Amino acid sequence: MCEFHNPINCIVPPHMVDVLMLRGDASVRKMAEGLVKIGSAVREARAAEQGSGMVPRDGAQGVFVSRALAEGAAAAHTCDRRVHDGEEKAGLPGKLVRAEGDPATGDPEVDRAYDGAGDVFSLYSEEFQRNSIDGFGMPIVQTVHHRRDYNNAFWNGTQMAYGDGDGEIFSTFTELSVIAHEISHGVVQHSGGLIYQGQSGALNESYADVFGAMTAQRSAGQSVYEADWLVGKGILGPNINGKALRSMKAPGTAYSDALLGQDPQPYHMDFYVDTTSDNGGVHINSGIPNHAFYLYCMYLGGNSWERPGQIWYKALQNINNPHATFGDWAAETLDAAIELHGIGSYEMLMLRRAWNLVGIDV
Amino acid sequence: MEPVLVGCVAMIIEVVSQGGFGGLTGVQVTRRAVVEDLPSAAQEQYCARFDPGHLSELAAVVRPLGAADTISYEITVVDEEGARHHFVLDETLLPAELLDLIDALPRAR
Ligand SMILES: [Zn+2]
Repeated sequence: MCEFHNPINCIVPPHMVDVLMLRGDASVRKMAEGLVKIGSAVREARAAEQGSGMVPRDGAQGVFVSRALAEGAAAAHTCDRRVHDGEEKAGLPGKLVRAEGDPATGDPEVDRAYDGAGDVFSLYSEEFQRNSIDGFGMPIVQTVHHRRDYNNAFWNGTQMAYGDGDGEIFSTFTELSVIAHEISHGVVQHSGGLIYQGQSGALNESYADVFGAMTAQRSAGQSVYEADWLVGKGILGPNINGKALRSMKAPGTAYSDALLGQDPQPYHMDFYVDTTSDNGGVHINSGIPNHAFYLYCMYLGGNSWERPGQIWYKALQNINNPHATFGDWAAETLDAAIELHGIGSYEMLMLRRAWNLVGIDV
Repeated sequence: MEPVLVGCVAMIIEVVSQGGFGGLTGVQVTRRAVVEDLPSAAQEQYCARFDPGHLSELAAVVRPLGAADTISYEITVVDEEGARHHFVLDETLLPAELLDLIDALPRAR
């Protein structure tokens, strides 16, 4: 299940240089400019020698793919979970209360975070041959009871943190789809990244929701037809009128409440929301690719982590474009479907249909 | 006799939080206080941590690459002269001590 380890040295992959130049302060941009001057051949040689997360794609000089994918199945993966108690303060990671192999603590937040991370590790290891968040056995560090009445859960670039909620809007965040969502943001980061703004940010969000739902389905042994396709089920406060935070089956219907308003997620490009808030609507427009994944699963049947999940995961490893639009992502999933199942295959044709149904021509 | 604090007792701090995992764009939590109304033991901390010069330095730092679902804080400080200083800061850029001070501010919603 959750059992192996292998450390990694990292250099900055080329697309990350682009990101650093885009988003870094003056000193970071200067460093990034220096990296641009290093030729791609040198980078490829370095990647091969130093065990970077990104390596050249076979037969395509200068094109990088995630090493976690290029290396294929790991012989042995080790799960290293570390759950900390933030004790309602903001300091991270807080006090270590349950390390790998430790018995249950009796604190439901701690134990759900521990067990949930095990389910996520198991999904990535057994179904996608990925050894933890970075592909190389990175410890899965989580903090529960983060801050006081804190209505949020996040990935901060190195670890997950979960608040307890204020009891009014949220009652908890240690629900399996949420844990898998946050850990999957780490997987995105260590697979080349998707800039957290606009469409690429919504794709980052959607990948996290897709793998959040997938983890919950696998853990419950549910086929795509048995699943409820909800993200954050049961985490809302007791008086909130809503069943979850998001619905992949019917984006826009997860909640309708006097305090929260109406779930704002669209299911089609016709209803794409142009906004400056929420990093350009990353949690809003993610409804569109979320729904495409759901529709595709309905066409294929079976389990989400099988054919659909394999295509989505391969697309993430191959896309090599942190600024990807919905169209770029759809095209990458189609390439992945062709690579895995062949041109003209049912899997390819139904995928094109799913994207078309949400208003994306591919 | 209460110790007399010089410097920022009349300073007004307002913090509006938005964003996060929920994507609840319609829900903003506002916290607001005049420093002299806060517990006297904490007033110096508020003065130091919410000093506009200090916040400017924090605002110059880049948000960690890959971070997701973090909360954004819109912080407005009205100083002794009545000048308004406005900052938008991701929670990953704020020291833990400052975040704890935000959590202790009274809610104005
Ligand atoms: Zn997220």
